[in-house]
Amino acid sequence: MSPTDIARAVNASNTAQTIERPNTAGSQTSSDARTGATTASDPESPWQTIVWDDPVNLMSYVSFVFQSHFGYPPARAEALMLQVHHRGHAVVAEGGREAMEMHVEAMHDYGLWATVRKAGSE
Amino acid sequence: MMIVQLPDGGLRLVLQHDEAAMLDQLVTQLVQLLQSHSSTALDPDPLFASLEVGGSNSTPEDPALARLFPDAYEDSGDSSNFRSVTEQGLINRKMQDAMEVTSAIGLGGDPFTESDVEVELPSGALPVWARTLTALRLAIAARIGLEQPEDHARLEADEETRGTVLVFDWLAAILESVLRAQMSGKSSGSRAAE
Repeated sequence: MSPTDIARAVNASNTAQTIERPNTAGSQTSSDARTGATTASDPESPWQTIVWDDPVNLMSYVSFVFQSHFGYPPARAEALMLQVHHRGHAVVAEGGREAMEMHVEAMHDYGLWATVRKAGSE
Repeated sequence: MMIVQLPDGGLRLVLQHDEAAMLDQLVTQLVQLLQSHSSTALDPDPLFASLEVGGSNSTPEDPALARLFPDAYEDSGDSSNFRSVTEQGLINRKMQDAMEVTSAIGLGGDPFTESDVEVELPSGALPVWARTLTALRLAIAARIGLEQPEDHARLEADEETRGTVLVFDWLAAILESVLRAQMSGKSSGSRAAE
């Protein structure tokens, strides 16, 4: 079993986290400790969720997804959406690897093109 | 097609019979596409189905499936690990959404009627419709090779793809209405909460 498998098995036991705002306290600690080994400078935010531009998804839809999944206020969701649109991608969340993987899975649920990467690996 | 926003935050879609039949057919094709990529039967329990762990370990060859289930990492090993534990749940949830849409359209009954089809969407169903309309548009775009913003005009001018592009845009119009209803419901809700 890879670390990803284990992380997923843990996630699967908690239904709320896949559809609601992630709980960044508590259960997060063990995964931070795990990914901490490969973290360079900032152990608080070692991983990022990136959303990439595509020619299909409506701007209003992308903004809606950022509001409903991350709970971002409309202005922030709109700014991130515009960043995706104009720069081709945006960092929409930062944190532990496990939490970023949950975000990316949720973005894929919505049909957004999203990836996980280590902060500073761009 | 007529779309009416309801006072309770929901939406009423009035589709001509042909439109309803086309939407139903497209969503059914989406379900079939998803089924073709699924390794297990859909668990009748929606909770178990949505939590199912499993999936393939490589990017789907079909471009539509590849767009619906994209790689989560640049590194192929990490991507493969992620896919092998998340993909089946994603497939199942997309199927559940799509099946909820076809059952709301409700064409199952009488194939001979020509009358308009009225679909009432309660506010809770709006995100389900938004995700399914999006999945459909992504699959259609992949099928006709709409990969860059400028492809749209070219594909619309081409006799062979013109009809598909019109359907693609029609789905966008429905999606816009769904999102408008969703957003207006949400902002009035949050105002009430504050």
